[in-house]
Amino acid sequence: MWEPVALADGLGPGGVLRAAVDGQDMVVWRGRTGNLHAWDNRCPHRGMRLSFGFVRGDRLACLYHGWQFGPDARCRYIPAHPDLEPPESITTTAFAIAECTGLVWVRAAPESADRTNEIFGAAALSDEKPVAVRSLPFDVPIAHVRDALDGAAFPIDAGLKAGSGQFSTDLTSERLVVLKGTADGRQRTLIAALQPLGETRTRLHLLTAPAADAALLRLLSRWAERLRWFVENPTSETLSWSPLKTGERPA
Amino acid sequence: MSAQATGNDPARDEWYAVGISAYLRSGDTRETVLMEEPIRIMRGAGGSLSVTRADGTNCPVLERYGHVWTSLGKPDHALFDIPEDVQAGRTLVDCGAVRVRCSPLRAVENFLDIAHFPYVHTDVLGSEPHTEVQPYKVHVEEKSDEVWATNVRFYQPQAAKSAEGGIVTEYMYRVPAPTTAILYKTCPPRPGEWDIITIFVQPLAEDLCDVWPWMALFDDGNSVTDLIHFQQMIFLQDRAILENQMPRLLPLDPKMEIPTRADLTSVAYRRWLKRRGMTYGAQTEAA
Repeated sequence: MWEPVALADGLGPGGVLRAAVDGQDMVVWRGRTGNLHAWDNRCPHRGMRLSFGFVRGDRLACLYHGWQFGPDARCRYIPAHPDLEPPESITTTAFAIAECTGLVWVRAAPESADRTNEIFGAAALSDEKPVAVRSLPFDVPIAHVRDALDGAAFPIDAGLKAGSGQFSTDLTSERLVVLKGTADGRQRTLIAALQPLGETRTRLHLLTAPAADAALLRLLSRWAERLRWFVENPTSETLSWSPLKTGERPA
Repeated sequence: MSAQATGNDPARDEWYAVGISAYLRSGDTRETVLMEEPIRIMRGAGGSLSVTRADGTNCPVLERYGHVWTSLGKPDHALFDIPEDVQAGRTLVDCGAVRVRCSPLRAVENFLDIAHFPYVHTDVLGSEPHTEVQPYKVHVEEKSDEVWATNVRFYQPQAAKSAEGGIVTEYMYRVPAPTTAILYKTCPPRPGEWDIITIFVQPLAEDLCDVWPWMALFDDGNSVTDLIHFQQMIFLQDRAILENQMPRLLPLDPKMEIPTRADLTSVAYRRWLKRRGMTYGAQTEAA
């Protein structure tokens, strides 16, 4: 399955992060020219996690001995032997990666052709380019976050005090919840991408379209924090503004 | 693992450093773990040491190189000799222990490696663009069955606490026991002599160890505290690497990790471990 591992804005040129996708430990990084890569998180030399590495140009270098791997996942430079052309056999394993709708998506399988369709199916997310709000981790399994967003069980307009009207939810994929409605009197789309962090934790990557000003982004950020409070503290009495539907309260 | 199951694990018959002699005074007790087995070190009123297991049985014990040494089995050999221990003019420094979540064998192998200096000990033991490892020699000493690397040279911006400015430092490495490594390096204040830095690795488990650095240095003008701080900085930089190598156990199957010419010492060390059946902390088959 394609998993969202980062906001595209959060992994800029030279950025390196670690992600676990279907139990596969990966390094996800972006070269200086913008290309994205997802590899096995292990240097073939001495087993060092490549997610500790650093980007030089369009190559990722291992922190331990500085071995550099090019965009094709082949070792291109071994600093201990500057004049040596590294043998073709020294490679790391590459996985499928795609940038769609302001998110970085990874799949624990080889590269594939029609990535956008695989990730989103035929669903139209938004006509306008979404902008990043933020990512934040939740201390609950992915199903709890999904359930709270499902059917607008979580009151979006209560969090968005400036907004009014109805938001409806579209479960585009298992990892994506799209909420459409109005805020500030305008049509607005919220895109919530859910990344499982093992069995017990989840990371929410939140985006919105059309572009929002700083004040609205701040409101949406606080809304996400409230959503987390709501999901992590299902028995809390303090959330009187949370009209949970019976039976949908997370366990 | 099968050797351990049958009780014939040669790792049990090795000597291991398990504490610092000077920290144990008469009446003192130190509890620690050796190869997953709790042990208790006690110094009696007369100054003599004992090491006992949980079931009350005694382990062999001796004190050398600033440390207390013991074994869970029956060592059929004396503890290796480090003649520099008694050479006049050296400052002997015990540094305490650095606990590392890694195989004891990975800790030794990292100590034998120089190619990481520019990246892990940046601007201290190495710096770009001086990354090249010149050819050096490795052999197993026949009589003593020790791994030696000689003619090792590397450019260092600050080779030791007493070094000012960059120099090409010459090294030798000696592996007298599976979890002990000795480094000889040229000594800026005393041309012709070698400073020695050793690590004595205490295996707590196959993937957890305490590393006891010990030094015998010709140093002028640096306090013991400064020397210890310098070594601690170096070892903590190494720890960030050692705790992030996968698998945690040292692979002895040559298919699992790809060496180059700069890794000759590591290759010889792995073969030597394999030949001796030293599989505690090692992975013998590809995962």
